[in-house]
This record gives sequence, structure tokens and C-alpha cells, in this order.
Amino acid sequence: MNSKKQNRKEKLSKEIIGEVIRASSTEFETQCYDLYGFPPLGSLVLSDDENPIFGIVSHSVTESLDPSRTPRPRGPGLADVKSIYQESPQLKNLLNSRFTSITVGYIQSQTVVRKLSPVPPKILSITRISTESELIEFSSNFDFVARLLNSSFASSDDVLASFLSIAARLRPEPDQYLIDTGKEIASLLPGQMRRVNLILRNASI
Amino acid sequence: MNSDEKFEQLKQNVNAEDGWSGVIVGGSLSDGLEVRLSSESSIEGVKVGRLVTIEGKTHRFFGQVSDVILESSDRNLSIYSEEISEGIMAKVATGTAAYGKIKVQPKLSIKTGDTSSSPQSAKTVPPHFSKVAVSAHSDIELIFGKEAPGKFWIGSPLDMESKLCLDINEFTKRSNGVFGKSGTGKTFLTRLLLAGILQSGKAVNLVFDMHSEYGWQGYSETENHQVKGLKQLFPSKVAIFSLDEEHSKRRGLTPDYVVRIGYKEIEPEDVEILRESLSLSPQAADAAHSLYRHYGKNWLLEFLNTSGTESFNSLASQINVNQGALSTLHRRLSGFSRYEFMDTTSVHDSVNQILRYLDRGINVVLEFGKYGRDTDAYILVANLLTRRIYERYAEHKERALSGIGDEPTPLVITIEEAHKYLTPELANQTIFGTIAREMRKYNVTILIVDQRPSQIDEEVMSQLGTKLVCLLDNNKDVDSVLSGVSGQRKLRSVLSSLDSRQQALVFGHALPMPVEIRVRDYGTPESYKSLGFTDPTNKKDLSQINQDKSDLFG
Repeated sequence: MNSKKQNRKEKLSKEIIGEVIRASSTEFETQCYDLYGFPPLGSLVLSDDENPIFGIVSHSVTESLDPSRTPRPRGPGLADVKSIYQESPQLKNLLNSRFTSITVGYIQSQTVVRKLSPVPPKILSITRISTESELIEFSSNFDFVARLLNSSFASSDDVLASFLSIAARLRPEPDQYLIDTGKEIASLLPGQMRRVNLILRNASI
Repeated sequence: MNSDEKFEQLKQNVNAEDGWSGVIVGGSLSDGLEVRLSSESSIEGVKVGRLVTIEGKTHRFFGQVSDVILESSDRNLSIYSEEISEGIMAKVATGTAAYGKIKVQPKLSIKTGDTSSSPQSAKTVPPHFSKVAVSAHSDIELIFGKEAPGKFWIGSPLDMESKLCLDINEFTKRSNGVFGKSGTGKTFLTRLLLAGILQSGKAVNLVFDMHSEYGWQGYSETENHQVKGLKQLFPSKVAIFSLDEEHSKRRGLTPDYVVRIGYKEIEPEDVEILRESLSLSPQAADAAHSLYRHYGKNWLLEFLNTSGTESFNSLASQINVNQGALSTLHRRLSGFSRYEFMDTTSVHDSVNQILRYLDRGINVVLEFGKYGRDTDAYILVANLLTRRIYERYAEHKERALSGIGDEPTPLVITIEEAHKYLTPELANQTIFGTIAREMRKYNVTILIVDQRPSQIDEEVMSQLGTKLVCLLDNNKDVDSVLSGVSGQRKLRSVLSSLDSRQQALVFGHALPMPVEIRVRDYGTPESYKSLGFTDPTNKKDLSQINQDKSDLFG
């Protein structure tokens, strides 16, 4: 029993990828512990403190920690990027990876609420990738679709497509899931069937 | 049971393949309600004419699908239809950007939960988002009533198995009509109606059976076999009269009475209604009246015995009629001598015989045999007998009104090919026109069976209580059948979509709302049994008969 608990703890600790460094009602930014340690676009993450908040990864960035010291090209003549990082281990301390998640819901009394959280996550709360069961539960209701489509991100359609792609793969009938979500999208975007078509095409790749 | 549960039950009653449901999204009482179909509904399962139930807030409404529409919320859908017509996208677009809509004409309404009263005609509409589904069997029973004495099961609403019943009491109160193109099942429908009237005992039938199809046996063109007539089904309640004894005997039938018409029985009015079919000028037809005045009752025989130009000339000058008109009349009327049922010597008793049977509650079918092919003979005999019978009924009724004796049993006279003698020119002169207009003043009504309703006098058509219409495709015929009916445009679309067999649109006094039906089967052993026929060759039925006998006679 103890070993089981231990395993779970380890697993969860692996899923913890960073801490919140900026938060608002509609989105929160996480700085990753590892360089390039951000989850794929469209992943479901949680800022996991006493008030867990769901976010969908919508924008990732890697840049210099010190804005005045921007990276310079090392070439020409280098074989690949990997060798640069091996030769210059300090790069890991000079650069950092961050990602922004659109807030799509929160957990209240162990129930998933697909609304904006009353309060944004606290700075330095840990951010972790959701488990499969959390993702399946969260994506079983389509209320999040409207949040994503109405977000201020320019490429929100692609974020939605990426999220649907991840969520569909967890289901026994991925196409049926896309059809059901597609109907929700179509009803939210009346007269824009071409846009709906594009989202679903990207999601089904 | 709340309305949601009720609605779920409704939906379950529907065959899954044809299942559909929807919600009201707009419309009006006059133009019909717009119903958006749910995305899982199959639009191919929706059929025009289908009866639907709408759950309003306080009332339940009943209506009929009048149109099925393909709608799109995206104006540009046709531009990129190719892109989205396949795969996942086609399924996504179905029910969202491209969806089905139907138009429903609300007809009746009843307060939710009211089980004691019957639905009344709808004076308002259900609110937005009221749920719509195909009517359940219990709704059909609520609207049209259960099968019971006086409620005759005539068929089923289209695509449903529920029994749809006709109120025979209301039906026999007025004159009625069965219309439809040739070969659409008018005769089968009429035979059923006659059986229904007969079973109910609300009225007696007198059928002028032009093609000998109702009395002993008929013929099913689709099944290519003989079907039982009324006499075979109800031997003790039906008498067959024949105008052509040989024809009856050839078919192995001994008629209960052979009808003979004496020359003395023919009056100038009988010639008048044959004016058109005999191609007589008005002068020639008028000459018959002059001849009647001149010769008295035996005018026809005396006139037909006149021969030679001189005799004609002298007769013409005596009665002051144009000689040409007189000789034309003579030529045409001499055709009567071909009729073997005409009798030169005595006045026969056909009318009394018919009345004797009718008074005992026995239905009379007059088979015309070979004379069925001769419209003149049909018109002459049907008109002549009906006029006498009507006069007797009128006397009987007037006596009853003044307190002497009982009222006569209501009589329904079935006539065919009415468009040949109920034309606007002749309707005023024939007894049938009078009966149709005067309704049941004297307990006599007619049942018109015809394929060209547009040729029938408008006034007669407007007086018909209930109309049962099989497929009609001539615009004039459709107009004449539907004139004066509310929601004519919608009914027109229902009428034009009828199958050419075993389907009919029924509307009028005997039903609370117009309905498209699949006519009840007739011609199978089961169908005879359901009409109350017991087969003496069937052991089971035989034991029932013996049981009945011993119950009755000990």
C-alpha cells in the first residue's frame, strides 16, 4: 500500500512541470522547471493548490532570463543543436521556458466546474499536467469550447484543435467524439462552417 | 406523469427507423407552426400528413405535418458544400448548419391532463420550444375515439397501426361522398362504409350497384381474386334485388327480388334528367310533358306505339309541339324498349318491395347486371325508384312529426357515376339534388361515389357532410372536393401525395380533423372476421354458431 502511494507521488511529481509566475482571471503563466519542459500546445494543465484551476496550454515561449542578454548564433559550422547545449551547459541557466494557459475551469468540492475561477491561481502555485482520467472527465462536457473560441489568443482555433486531438485519442471512438464536439462548435459559430471544418480537420490529423 | 415523461413515452412509441422529434421555433395558427427537428431525427422518417402531438405548457395540441423543409443556417453552405459533404464534417453539419424543419398545422387542443372531454379545435398555438413528436396510439384514440358500437374502424393514420374510427351516427346524419380516380379503391372504401353503417344499425342502405360489386361479391384488381360482398358477410341483413335476373343466376345467385319497371311508372321528369345523355334538345324534353298532359299515365307506351309520318304530324299539331322535336324524342325513347326490365302491361311493386325490406332494417342492394354498362338505364331506374321512395319517406316522416307512428329508419342511398346526373344543369331536377340539399329532413341521405367531382353541382358538393377522397390528380376535381374546407392549401398537398391504392384523405362532420388514412384491409379471411363474419365451413366458427343456437333455442 505504501509503495503504491509512493508510486503515485512519484508519478504526480513527474507531472509537475513548473510554477505559476503570472495570473489573471482568464489565463495564467507557468515557468517550467526544465528548459523546454513545457507540455504540447492544447494540453490540459492544473495549477494545483487548494483551489485547483484548469488551463489549456495556448502559448509557449523560451527566451533569455535577462532581457538585456539575448542569445547570439553560435555557427556557422556546428553539426547540431544538441552539441551546443552539451558544450555550453550554462545555457540552461541563461534561458527559461514559459507557457500561458487559458483558464477553462476549476475543481470545487471534487467536482469539475467549467467556468472561470472566482479567483486566479496564486503566484508560485505548482502547475502539473492533468491525468488521463481528469482529461476525460473534463472533456466530456463541451462548455469549455466557448471559452476557447472567445479567448483573446489569435490562434485559439488551433489551440482548440490541438486540445480536441489529445482528448479524442483517449476515447474508444475518436471520430464520434469529434463529431459531437463539432456540433457544439458549429452551433457556436453559426454561418462559419468553413472555420468549423478547419478546426476539425486539424483536430483529426 | 409530467409532460417530459409523457413526451419520452411518445418518442418510444415511434418506430426507431422513422423516429423523430423537434421543437417549435416559430409560425402562426393560420400558416402553421415551424418545427426544428432534433439533430438525431431522420428527416426521411417525417411524412406529410402524419399526425403529431405538441406538448404546450397548459394544453396538448394535435396537428398534422403539412410540409418538410431542408434549412441551412449558413448562407454560403452551397458554396463549400463539396468540402463539407463527406466524412466527419458531413455528420457535424447535419443537424447544426444544415437541419430539417417541418411545418405543422395545429388542429385540435385539449387541456393537459384532461381525460374526460374530447379535444376542441385549436384557437391558439403552443409557445416556443414546445416539444413535438408523432402522436401515440392513445392520442389517436383520444381524438377519434375507440372502436365501439357506432364508431367504425375505417383504417389507420398513415404509417401507424392505430385504429382510426368514424362516427357512424354523425356520418349518416348528412349526405356524404367518396371520390377518387378510377382504380384508387373507391369501391373497397364504399363497401367498408356500407358494412360500417350496416353493423351500427344506425341506418339502412339502399345501394344502386352499377357494376354488381357490393351485393354478392366484388373483384380485387390488385389481388386478382373475388372478394365477398355484403350479402355474403351479413346474409340476414342484406337483400339483393336484381334488374337482370340472368346475370345474377350466372353468378350462382338467386336474387331476393327481380325489379321490373312499368312504362306507366315513367314520368316526364325521368326523361328530363336523361336529356343530356340522350342528347335531347330542351324542346324535345318539354314535349314529354305535353305528351303526359295529352295521354295521361300511359303516355310513354302510347307515344312509342305511334308510328308513321301522318300520325306524328297529327300528334304534333294536337299537342302543339315541333314535329322534328317530337320525332327525335320518339327515336331516343324507343331505346327503352330494349330494356328487358321494362314492362308494358302492369305497374310493378318494386318500390313497395324495397320499402318493405328497408322497414325491417334489411339493407337492399340493387344489382344492375348488364344494365350497369348503360348509364341511361342506371339514371332512369335509380332516379325513378329514389323519387318514389323519397316521397314515401317524406309522408312517413310527416306523419311521425304529427304524432302518428314512429320515425322511419334513416336511409342512406348509394349512387355511382353521379357526375352524369348531378351536373349543375340537372342537379335541380333530380331527386338526388333535392336529397343532398335538404339534408336529412326526411331521414334520407345519399352517399355519392364518383371519379369526377368537378362535374357535380357546386351546391350539392357543398352540402356533403363527410368526404372520403382517394387520389385525385385533376386540378378541377381537387378544387371541387376541397372547396369551402379550411386549410385548403395544406390539404391539397396532402391529397396530391396519396398513394394510388388503399389511401384516402377523410374530412368532414364524422371526424374532428382531416386525416390521411390507409384504408382497412378488405378481402382476407381476417378482415371478414374483424367485420363480424363467421365462416360456416370453419370448425371454430361452426362451434360458435352451434353454441349461439343452443343459447338461443335451448
